[in-house]
Amino acid sequence: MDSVIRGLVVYFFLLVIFRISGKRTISEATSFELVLLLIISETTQQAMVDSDHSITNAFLLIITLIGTSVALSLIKHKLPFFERWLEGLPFVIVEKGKLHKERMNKARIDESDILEAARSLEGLERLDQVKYAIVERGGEITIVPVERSQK
Amino acid sequence: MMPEPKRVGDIEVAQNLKHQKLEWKIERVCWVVMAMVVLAALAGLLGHGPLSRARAGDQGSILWAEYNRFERYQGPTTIRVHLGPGAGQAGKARLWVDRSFIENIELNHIDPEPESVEAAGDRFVYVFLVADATRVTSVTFHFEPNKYGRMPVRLGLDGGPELSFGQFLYP
Repeated sequence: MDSVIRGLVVYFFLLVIFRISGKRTISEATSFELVLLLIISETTQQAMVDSDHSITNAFLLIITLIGTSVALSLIKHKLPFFERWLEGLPFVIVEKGKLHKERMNKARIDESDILEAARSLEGLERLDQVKYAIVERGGEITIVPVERSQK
Repeated sequence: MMPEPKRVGDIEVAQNLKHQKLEWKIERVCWVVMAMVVLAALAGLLGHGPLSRARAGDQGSILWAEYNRFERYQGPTTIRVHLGPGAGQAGKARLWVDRSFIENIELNHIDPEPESVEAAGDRFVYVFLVADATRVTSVTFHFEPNKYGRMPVRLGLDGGPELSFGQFLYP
């Protein structure tokens, strides 16, 4: 019984923590943040497994975690309200070439982030070539260049 | 099911600015809460720390103890019991501890090692050799709590004063 409760508590705690840390943190993972993730997983693992190193306990925890994930995906599929809160929504930060500064500040995104996405995704050179920039649900920035949308 | 996409300019995207603003607001409130949790932990409200340290009994009396108000499940900790002058008789001090406390913890060791332990009803009596009964000495219990919530602790000198206090154990 203990391991199921532990698994659930840890699952929802991590869900909330990663959600409130903001989108930028996960998608922007630098090598340091990768190390941070490894430390987090190690810390979590010890609290979750406790001192019970049996296979039964391991199986139970894995089933609990995967089961919760499946259950949540089912709920999200049926109820858009849950999806909105659990995954977030995309939002536009560049609209017809105009920057939405306030949204960018709230999401901790600056022009260089947009330019980086523009370069890597579309090979663009300047900000005025970006017609739309959207922060997707996973935190990554997608770009619609001026030329293509005019075609 | 992704919420219905709406038209923003020329593109279709499931943007919902009302939701987005609320989300950002909640996000910032949660950051403050996280900062408060860290400060509370530094202060000792979630385990060891200045606000956690406590004393039961009067310092300098025949029996007093130092402990932490807040502890954590399976976190190593100590209770230090001070035995004042007169606590030992005939070279021995007899300190009893409530059985329910011992049953709620994993007792790692006691410094100094007791000479013997006696089971006496709902108590365990630890007998310590005392070299000089006119001076203050102390006994430290090193243990890990095995339960959550409030844990009452009762201990005392056989035929002498007793101390009663509680520790709160976080899961």
